[in-house]
Amino acid sequence: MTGIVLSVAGLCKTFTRGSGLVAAADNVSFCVKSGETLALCGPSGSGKSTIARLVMRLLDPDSGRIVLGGQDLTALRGEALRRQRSRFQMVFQDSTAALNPRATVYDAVAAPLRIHNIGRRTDRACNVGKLLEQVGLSADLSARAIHEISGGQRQRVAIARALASKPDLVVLDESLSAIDPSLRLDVLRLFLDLQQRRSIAFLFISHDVALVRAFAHKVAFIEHGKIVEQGRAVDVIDQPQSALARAMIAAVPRLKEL
Amino acid sequence: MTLLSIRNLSVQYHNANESIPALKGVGFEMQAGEKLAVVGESGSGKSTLALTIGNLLPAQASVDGSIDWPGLDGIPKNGRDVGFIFQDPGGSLDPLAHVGTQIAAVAQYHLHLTRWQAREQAQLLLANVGLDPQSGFFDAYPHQLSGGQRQRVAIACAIAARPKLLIADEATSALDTLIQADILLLIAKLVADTDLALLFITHDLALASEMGDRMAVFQSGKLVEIGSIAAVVGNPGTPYVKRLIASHIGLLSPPLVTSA
Repeated sequence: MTGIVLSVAGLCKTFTRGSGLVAAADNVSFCVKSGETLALCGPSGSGKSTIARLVMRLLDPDSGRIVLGGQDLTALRGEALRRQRSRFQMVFQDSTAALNPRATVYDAVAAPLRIHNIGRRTDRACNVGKLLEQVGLSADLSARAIHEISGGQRQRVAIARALASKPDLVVLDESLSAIDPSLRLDVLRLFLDLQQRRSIAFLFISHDVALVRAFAHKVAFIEHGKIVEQGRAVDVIDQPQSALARAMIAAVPRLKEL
Repeated sequence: MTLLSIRNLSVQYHNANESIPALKGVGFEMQAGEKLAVVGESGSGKSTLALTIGNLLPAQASVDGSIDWPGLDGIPKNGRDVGFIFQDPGGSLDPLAHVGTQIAAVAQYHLHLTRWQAREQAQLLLANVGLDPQSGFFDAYPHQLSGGQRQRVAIACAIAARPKLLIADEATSALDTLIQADILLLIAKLVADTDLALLFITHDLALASEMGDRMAVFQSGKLVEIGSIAAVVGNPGTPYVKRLIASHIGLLSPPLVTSA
């Protein structure tokens, strides 16, 4: 059956602001199983992106543990941590800012294969082509520069790059917010298809409650760095208990047919 | 009464070796006090429409067709007749001036007030957009405010000269859903209280349906559908709008995943 991929326990991180302290993560605990999506949902400044960056080990926590597939990431430093990085990857909101604009599509997708020494060098072009096809792009796109392709294509390149090292966990930080609504469903279906085929666990950071309800298995609502409510996404969003979840659900624009 | 009448409007941007069409033969009318929501995806021409109406296009753009203002005597003056709110309020405010002074400047210039009257007017406007002037907001700098508060200041500036038309271009897209809801409520209240017409530009179909009396859908520079919210959302006439509605994800959409 499905095992736990990511387990986070007692995670704390405070930042200084002026003369005071702000808790961006305050004793946060959750777990994500393989093939499962957990959404972290909260208003801006709630700490959801900080938690994503802590999980990605882009920030050091003050205390708490992050365990990925049995390995305690918080204990790792330097080369030992770098070797583990192929197992957890991230897709950012703004693919233009996340990718080198002067690189080609090939460079962007081949970089993780090169860095983590995956596959034979002679097979690399073929592997990049396969990755591009997996995200619904033509392998012919390889030679194009990142700045020459459309925003939707660029986000798919960012996804292909995140998948290149066959990670167990992918953190999606508002990865759908910048995509046009008519393309969003396609990208969502792409994520779900990849998740099912490769049992990837997703940590999905979003303030779009409707999207979370459609896409995530579980949700945790976050306010001032604390989880105020969590559970099955459909259950929590259809019957919210916390004031935050209620307010965020009430604020979702409704499509009107008078 | 017709406020604004646009006929066969085309806009092209020119660079060194090519011309890029941004609007192609667009025509519609807006009534005084009407709320028109403009929906479109990136590259649909919706922002070009706002810039053209406000005569804010860059010099490299060429315009064909006509924009008439039967509701005004003469050509409109930005700030006085047309107010703007953009996505990034930080970009519309002077970082080195108190926000109260910036609002007062608009009122003083367009309404021909004395400095003192303009100050009083600015305090009223601050209160109207939900920033209590007694709490020191008048003398705050933009960087001391949150994104939502800055957008409130930008709204106060936009309405300071009591314009006939307020253009909001993705005015809440950079805000989270909670703050977006507050700002939308504020805009709706300001428009309802006066005969101010609203051109509300967004990529979010649901938001457009909440904010407009009518809805205009743009795709690749063309106006593909315009009509009442009920007509466009309830009975879309083009495959594009049908697809937009079908791909909308709302709170009642069936979940794409099943969880144990």
